[in-house]
Amino acid sequence: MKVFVRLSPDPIRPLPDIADSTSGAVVTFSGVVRNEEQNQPITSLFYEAYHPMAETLIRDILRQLSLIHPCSSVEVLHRLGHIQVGETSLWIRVLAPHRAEAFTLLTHFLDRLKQDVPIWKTKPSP
Amino acid sequence: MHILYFAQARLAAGLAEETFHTTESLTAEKLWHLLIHRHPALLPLQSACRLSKNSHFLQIGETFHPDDEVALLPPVSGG
Repeated sequence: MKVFVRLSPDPIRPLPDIADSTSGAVVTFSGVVRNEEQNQPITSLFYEAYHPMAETLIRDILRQLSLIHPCSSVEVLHRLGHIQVGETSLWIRVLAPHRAEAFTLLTHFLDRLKQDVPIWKTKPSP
Repeated sequence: MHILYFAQARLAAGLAEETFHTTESLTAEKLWHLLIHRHPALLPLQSACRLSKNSHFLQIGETFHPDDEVALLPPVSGG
């Protein structure tokens, strides 16, 4: 499975379409900053990461998941730094021969991301 | 030993990183003891934080060596 990972302070721009005649499913997910955090109104969030470990773990998790849910490729873009409400913090695209594998891998990856990968969001100090 | 503090650990310690001079290997317990002595506000985070050693989660029984990079990893919240 091809894996592309980028953690960057730059605004997320979806990657160009991939020409892959073997993939019948293309599943895209965007995580967007909401206007509240822990029931408190916010205007932005600050994301930080232990960068090398986060990237390595993302690749490891995807490698493990691809053994169970075979997909063609996964691309993960995670933005860091200050992100305003309404802006995208996370963008993922999964290509697979069939939709079931793509949706399942995506769901399990998001669970693992939020459980293990050293990325944090905090409310900016007033 | 180079110590990295992230998120709530960074706020509690009041800094993002520091070098900790030691000539001996340290268990996780001993390291926590020393870090909390230096930054008492870390105490409430001890039970929730994971430790990493050179960018890998610390394994049971592993110790830290003087030239290791150690990170205090509060519960993550990416996405």
